[in-house]
Amino acid sequence: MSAARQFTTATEPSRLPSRRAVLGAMFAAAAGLTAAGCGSTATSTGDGSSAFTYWSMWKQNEPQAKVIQAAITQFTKDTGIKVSIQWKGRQVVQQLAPTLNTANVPADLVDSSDRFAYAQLQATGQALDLTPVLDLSIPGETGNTVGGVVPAKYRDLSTTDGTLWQIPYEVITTQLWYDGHALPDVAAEPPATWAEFTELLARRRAERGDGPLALDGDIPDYAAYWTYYAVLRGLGPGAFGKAATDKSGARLKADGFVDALRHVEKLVSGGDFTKGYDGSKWPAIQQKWAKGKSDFLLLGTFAPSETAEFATSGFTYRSMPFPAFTEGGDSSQDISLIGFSIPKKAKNTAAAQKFIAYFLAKKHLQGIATQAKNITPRADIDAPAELADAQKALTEGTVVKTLDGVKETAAEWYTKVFLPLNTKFITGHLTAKSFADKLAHDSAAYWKTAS
Amino acid sequence: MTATDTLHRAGAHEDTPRRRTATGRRVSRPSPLAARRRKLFWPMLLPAVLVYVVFFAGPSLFTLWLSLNQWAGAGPMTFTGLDNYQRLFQDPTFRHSFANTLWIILGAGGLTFLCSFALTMVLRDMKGRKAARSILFFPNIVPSVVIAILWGFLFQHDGLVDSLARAAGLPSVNWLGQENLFKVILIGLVWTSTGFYTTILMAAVDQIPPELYEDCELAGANALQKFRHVTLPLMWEVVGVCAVLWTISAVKVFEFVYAFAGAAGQMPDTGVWNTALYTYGEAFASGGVPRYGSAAASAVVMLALVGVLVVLIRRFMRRDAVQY
Repeated sequence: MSAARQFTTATEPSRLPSRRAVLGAMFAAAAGLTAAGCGSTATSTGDGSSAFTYWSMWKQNEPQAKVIQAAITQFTKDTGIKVSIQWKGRQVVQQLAPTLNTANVPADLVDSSDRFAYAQLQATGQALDLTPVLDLSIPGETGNTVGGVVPAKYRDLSTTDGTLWQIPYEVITTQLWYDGHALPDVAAEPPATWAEFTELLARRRAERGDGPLALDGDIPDYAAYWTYYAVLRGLGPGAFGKAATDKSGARLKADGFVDALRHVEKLVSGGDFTKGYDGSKWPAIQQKWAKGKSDFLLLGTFAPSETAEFATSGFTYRSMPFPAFTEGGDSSQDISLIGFSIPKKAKNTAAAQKFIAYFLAKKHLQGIATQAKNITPRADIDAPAELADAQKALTEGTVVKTLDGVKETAAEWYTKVFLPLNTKFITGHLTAKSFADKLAHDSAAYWKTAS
Repeated sequence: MTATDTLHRAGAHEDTPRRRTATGRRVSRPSPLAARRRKLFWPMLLPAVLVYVVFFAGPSLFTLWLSLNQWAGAGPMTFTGLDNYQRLFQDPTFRHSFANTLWIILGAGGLTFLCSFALTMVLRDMKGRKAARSILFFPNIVPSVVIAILWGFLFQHDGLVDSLARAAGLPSVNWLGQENLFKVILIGLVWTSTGFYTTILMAAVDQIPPELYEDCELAGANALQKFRHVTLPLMWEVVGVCAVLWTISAVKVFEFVYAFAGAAGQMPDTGVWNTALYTYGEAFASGGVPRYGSAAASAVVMLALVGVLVVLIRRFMRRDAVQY
């Protein structure tokens, strides 16, 4: 018997509630408190509030944060609307998620990568439809509206069932990066087809005595870009996504799919990837690439900013699209977006929407290009010099959601089924055929039990 | 008997005046001290109980409830009964993660204790053993995230280990390759944990009377015999506690694997996932729609695993205490 129990029973019957009752009430209260976050049904209305709260994916010392902060300061001066900004970092939407069911959603505006905004806001029914924002005028730009400066091809990728759940302010695309200073011939005339590309690789491999392709293979996504682009070039936009969600797995081992994979298989078996790509710790290989230890790096438009401090003197960032398999074949660019979303239960939606339109003005948004060294959705804002090739590819070509959006729509399949096998394939432990067969088999098994 | 038990019983005899009622029945009247204690009982206890209930018991119960539902962290929660558990055991990734967890508990744990026992034998008679103990304990002080990152650079292609192996004329091994990654993680866990358990075991060894070892010397026992017949039986209880501590911490191993094998904000290859990483992966779904129900089910399985293993360890380690 516990000391407490003895103590109480030894004294007079107390009018105090019994411990059991107290503890029971406290358990109930705790469970209630814990579950409270799931039960709220309160709603809010967008009004003409004079303040709003903004949660950002950037940290305060990042260049994007400085650009946004400058715009906020000016916004408050111009409109009188106060902005309470919180620099939350990359997990911003995940931090916001537990509050989305409550009556007090702490953020009226949030920015994040498109896949997180989709998964945490749109897929859970917590994203406000931003379609009305498209009609808002851009302050200081006569005749310009949000819908007019953000191209439809980007907006369409952030629209699901008619709901525009994000308005982008930064565009990321994947390119093959190289040093234009070291490879002037490539800079003058980049290989346009796969045959020209592999011929170039063979030449460079012979000159180097090592594979000219850089890849940090320990990052599963980076290895996946190679496979995805091969399928994109071989079968066109959307084919990878359709194969991923094919419940029978048949599309994953169809002849066209395997043929596309064989393009990558030849690179692996031919030794085109640099030594150690399958056994290094990121960012070792991309840093070595910047130091001139290899020639080509397939990576997003963040590649220059991530590698600049390691680059050799005179390194000139140039990039080219993943080559088309045949002349005139698919040359679309994959993209992912970073932009603004508004939680459905946010209280100050009108003020938040006003800021979106304000920030998309050229004089504010161009800081994303000039200071943060990234591409914006506005075609009239020049990308920094190192991203000029990538911007040209985006402007001239068609765009497709990176990995056909499977990281949002079939994330579990992508993580558990595709990536482990793909890493085996890219590191030479599976042939194209055995990879496709195993992928088809495991996918069919996965979809049988997937919820 | 607890200290409060003793206090109470003493108080019952010494502090409480007794009186007879009209019917002659003796009743106890609480002393002023006991009355004050009674008044203070709930005010003193409540904050602790409240903290425990709100921050531990409540969330634990909610996790149990969540494991019976399908929920994305926002939006409606759908009751699905035991579906999450059924799906969990059908998921090859979970089964593999579970196997990896057992490898960490039993494989890395076995090796950790083997190394700790060996070091205990060596350190007992060693000069400067306090300094050696501190050095051994050092990996436990450094955050495992830091060690994991450094460990990655040590073992990568052209890293220190690779360079030393080549200099020694040994064949090059792709340590960070998909096929070897988990083995390196196990070695890393052994390396970071051995010092901690050696320190605890050494503290137990220090309590063993030296004359027992002198007796062994006279009998001509070697180091292994001394360990088997003196050291191990006399520190058996401590070994049992260490085994329980290891089991609990091994099931929760997360940051070392995540920092060592993952990078650029991405989850590592599923081949190195343990149940803790699986739980995290389900909750945050690598960018997809979160599956909190499935994550909660995985967490409940982890809890059950700890419970079962701790009971088994306690039963296996049960011995009559050796008096000395």
